[in-house]
Amino acid sequence: MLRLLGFMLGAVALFPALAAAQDRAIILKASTVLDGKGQIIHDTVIVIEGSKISRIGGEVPAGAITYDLTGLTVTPGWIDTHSHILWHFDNGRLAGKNEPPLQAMLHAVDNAVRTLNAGFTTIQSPGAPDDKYLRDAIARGVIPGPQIRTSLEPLSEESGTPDKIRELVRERKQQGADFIKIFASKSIREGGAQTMTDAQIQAACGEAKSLGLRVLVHAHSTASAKAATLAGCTAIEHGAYLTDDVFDLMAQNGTYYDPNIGLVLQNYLANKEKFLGIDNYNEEGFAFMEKDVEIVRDTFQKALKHKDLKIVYGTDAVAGAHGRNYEEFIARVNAGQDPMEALESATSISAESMGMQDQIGSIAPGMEANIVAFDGNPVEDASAARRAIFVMKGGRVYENLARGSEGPQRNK
Amino acid sequence: MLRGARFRDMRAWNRKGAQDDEKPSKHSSMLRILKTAVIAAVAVAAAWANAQDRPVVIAASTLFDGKGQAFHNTRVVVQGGKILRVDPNAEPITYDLRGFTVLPGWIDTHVHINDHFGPNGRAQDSKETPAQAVLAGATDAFVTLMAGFTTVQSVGQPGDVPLRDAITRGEIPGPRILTAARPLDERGPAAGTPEQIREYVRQVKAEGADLIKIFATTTLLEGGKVTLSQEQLDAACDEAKKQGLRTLVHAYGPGIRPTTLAGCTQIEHGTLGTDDDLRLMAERGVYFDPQAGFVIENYVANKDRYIGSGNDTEERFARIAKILPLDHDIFQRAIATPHLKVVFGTDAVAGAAGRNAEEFIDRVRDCGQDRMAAMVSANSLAAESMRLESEIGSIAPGLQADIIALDGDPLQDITAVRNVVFVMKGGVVYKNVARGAIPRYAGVEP
Repeated sequence: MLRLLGFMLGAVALFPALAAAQDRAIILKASTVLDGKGQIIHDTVIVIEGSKISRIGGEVPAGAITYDLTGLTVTPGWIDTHSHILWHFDNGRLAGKNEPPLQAMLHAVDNAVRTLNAGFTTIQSPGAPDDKYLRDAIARGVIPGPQIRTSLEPLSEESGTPDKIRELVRERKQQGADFIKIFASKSIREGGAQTMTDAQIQAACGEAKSLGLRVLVHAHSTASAKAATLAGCTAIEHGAYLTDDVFDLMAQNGTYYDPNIGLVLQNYLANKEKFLGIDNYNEEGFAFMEKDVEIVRDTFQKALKHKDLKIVYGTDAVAGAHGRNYEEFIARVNAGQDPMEALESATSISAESMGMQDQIGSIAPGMEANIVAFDGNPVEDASAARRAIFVMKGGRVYENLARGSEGPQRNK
Repeated sequence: MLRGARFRDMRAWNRKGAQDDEKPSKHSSMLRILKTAVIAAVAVAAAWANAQDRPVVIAASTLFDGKGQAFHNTRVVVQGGKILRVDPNAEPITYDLRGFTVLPGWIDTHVHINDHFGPNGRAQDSKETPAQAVLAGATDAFVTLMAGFTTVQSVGQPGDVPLRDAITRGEIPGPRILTAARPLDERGPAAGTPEQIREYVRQVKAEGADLIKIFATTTLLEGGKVTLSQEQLDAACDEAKKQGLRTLVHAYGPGIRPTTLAGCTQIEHGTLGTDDDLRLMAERGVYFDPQAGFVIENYVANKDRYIGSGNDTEERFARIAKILPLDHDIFQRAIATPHLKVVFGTDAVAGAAGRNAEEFIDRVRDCGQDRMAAMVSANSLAAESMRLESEIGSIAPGLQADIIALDGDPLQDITAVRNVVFVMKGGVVYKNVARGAIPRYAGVEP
């Protein structure tokens, strides 16, 4: 019976008083490694020094600190390109601005911990001004949570003239935004029609590009997605009603596509009474969402046929969804996406879409030691994605549960 | 699971504005106190109940039971978040902790869990936002848990309450927190008349306090002079008893006797206390929590972060450093006093969270406390001081599965307390790292 051990087996002399942990190499012994770029490596070791992967394979230094991950499936830490990390329920309802900041931020920490425990070591939050506090606290390397990239406050058609929008983009950069988020269309539950003018979209994406910032565009309709693609925006989010010609255009322009077919709508529907009556979460909207589950799935299947289209992994996680970010993977595989490609989408392709392909999203020398191990193989059995039992981020082990634990206990 | 009407009744007492039974009749008051204490413990236990069902087996070559005994080559079976039994033949092993020292999660009876240095790196930061303060508190809670402390008593501030509740809901990784919510900081007449003090006790209970914190003397640097009258102390500790709450009282030497006579539960610090004071506490069953040095060391090590804030100056820090021998003295005399229950408390303030185990080292190395006694003072004895001995503080059937493991044997080398490789709380594994790879967090190095 395999055991997940925290130390080397056998009669080994006790180690002397410890130097700082990060001074010594850590070895992950693995029987199956999915490198995030489509490769499978069997029976190897991953050597970690400090916060980075230094090499794969080769000699194991005598007396190395070892985690035995044989029998598990090791992958790079997963990435969620669209997670509203602060959203949460309070007293059974979607929490709003009236909640004391004290409490809201505690819920946010909870979301962050659950997300990390599910194997997601990096997320993009599109976004809210208070994201930065959580981002910065986690970046200090103490409190557990994924690395966060945030857009801070998003822009929309109400942000003003094209010139005003350019000014706001500059302001976001000054405020420390990692990327820009714009709403170019209505929500899915309102039908998704274009809201920002083409000129507004061009202003946002043009200015952002000149400042070296990426732009994520909420766009459901073909018109809004086309406008965003032609304006040089980085990624189209959601895109429930997109068609083949739009996908062709996106593929040609290198625009990323972020469909959300497995978690956001299902989570809304499962938690309907917690949202109903707040803002535009009304019966009509929920009726729309019921129908949209199939619509977005069909659109996704259409997108899959475009081999040059780069699909990233975003869930649009809101209150109730954090920690179940893996459901998107399962839905995409069930909808027909090749499981290895689905994994690449959640790792190296998402990393590339964020301009971070040299740091995260694959297991290779020089990359951040963001490594997850699943009890089971998600590429052979998609439901294994629910069972991350080992989570390392930046070379630190945040989660190390015994086999058979059925995944992060606190996410139940 | 102990949920149900009884649990709901208990929680109702903690909600603001709840109707309290303020004037119980004389005959039933004792029974009420007992009943209240039991219900309080039950409610705490109910809040801590965990839904995990599959049995988990922890193998240990060395196991401390929390009551002073060490066992070898045995296994602990955990189910539903609780310890089911200790059974050397339990199979299969889920967590193999052989080669480590396995013991109950530690309890720190005196922390300030939300105290932290602000974004400006200092103890006072007027620019810190509420969000940053909350994140700092949550970070303190996390490193405290990582350091092997699965329960802390925070005395405390109002921000402790939402942090406690978030942790109880099973969200944030942190220790179980008992909090005094809003200590009665004022001294002398400013603390109020006896009737006002009684009202304070009832009020802070409604605000969610698990215990009452009051100050019977000035600080040591100001002479440790008594600041509350006997009537004020009597009112505080009597009303607390009526409300089913314990009292933690800051008291230097001169304050020990009046505090003990007032029937308070536990005395903190006690420096300059006489042998008679110590004997009186032992006689009356008052718990004693003297600090052997970590709090001072933390202040001195971080003085640049404190200087300029409030009272703190270079000169004051020079005087603080001179307190150390006095603290050693009271501690040594305390552990030499028969029947005096000396519990473990650090008075951890900003800069100390996650380094709570340093106090063990000070108590053993500098004051000669027996190593196993030091462990017990943070296990079953601390639990008993909190009236939670049937919930935490030892490895025994029915108790919460709060279990930690150290790389090294603290009975041979007390500094092994710095090397926590495994932390389980309520049956959930929060830390399980390889020997040699214990994470050291910036600002939390030993």
